[in-house]
Amino acid sequence: MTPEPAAAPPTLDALQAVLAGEHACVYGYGLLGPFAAPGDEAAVRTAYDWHRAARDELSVQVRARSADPVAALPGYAVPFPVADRTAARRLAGLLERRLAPLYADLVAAAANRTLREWTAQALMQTAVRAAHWTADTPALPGLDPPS
Amino acid sequence: MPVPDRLGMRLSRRALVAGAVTGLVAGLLAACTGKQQQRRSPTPAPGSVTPDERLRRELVAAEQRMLALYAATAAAHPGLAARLDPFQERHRRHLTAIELSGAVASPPASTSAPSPGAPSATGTSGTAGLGHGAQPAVPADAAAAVAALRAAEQAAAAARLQDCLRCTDDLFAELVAAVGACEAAHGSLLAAA
Repeated sequence: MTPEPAAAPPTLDALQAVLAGEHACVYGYGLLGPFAAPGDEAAVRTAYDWHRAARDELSVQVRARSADPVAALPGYAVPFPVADRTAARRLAGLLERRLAPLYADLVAAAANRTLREWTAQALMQTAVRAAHWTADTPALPGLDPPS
Repeated sequence: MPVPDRLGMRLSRRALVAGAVTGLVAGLLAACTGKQQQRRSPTPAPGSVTPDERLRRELVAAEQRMLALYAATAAAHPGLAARLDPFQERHRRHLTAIELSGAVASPPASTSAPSPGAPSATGTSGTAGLGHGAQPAVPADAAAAVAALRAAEQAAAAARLQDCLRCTDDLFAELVAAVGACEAAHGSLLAAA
């Protein structure tokens, strides 16, 4: 994908914001994984792998714009204790819901078609996973205020 | 040592402006309002229809077909009606959001032919895409009826992905992608329930 000079700064900002979110999301799935119900383990693993791959792709996109990818933090504050399968599902749903606005921003900010397509697919997949974990969906994932 | 406030991922452009959680919500709402004002174009010059206006018309028609399919399904299977209600409500919200996002092109003089790329070529649900006022066919078996809805949602999500690449306006593209994300989530929810 070729960065376009005029549009690159907003695209770069949005890319870095999603990347920071994906770092947190990878951390969160790593944290909740050990507490997932046996029936949820495969979905947690799939989600974890997906977010790691997204994080790597976003880093590539940032580097392609001659910038340093934002780094992961050593730790992240979790808004509630995660010590059982119910809390594990709840955190997974929260992670996906909070990621959606960042992807929605990037859909708008994407300076080229390839990045926009990748991002719109990512928004859809994060909405599908959020629906899986919460058994619900906002009407406009990424645009509706978080519930 | 955990660093507060980072799991909240409040790093979007909007969120950087907004700050706190309540600020995040307010920021999103403010951003959306700004978008709609930005999108709402003045009365278009007669005869000139932009691609976004044409796409908006297609999306309005697609949402209306989807609502008709849900209504027909709920009528044929009253036991499903309560469960389908939130899905219909979200589609009504899509319709409103699309209509408010900017000018909608007027329908062409002859409205009979659906566009060749209309995303409804799967089995019984395909008939839902045909013709204004045509009653969508609903399978007699309730589980099959839900499966038909699911197929229609998945086809719609795939169509929205392509649609968002056709948008000229960046914020319209964002809206179309969000509509598609909801439809993809609907596909998942209809499979699970």
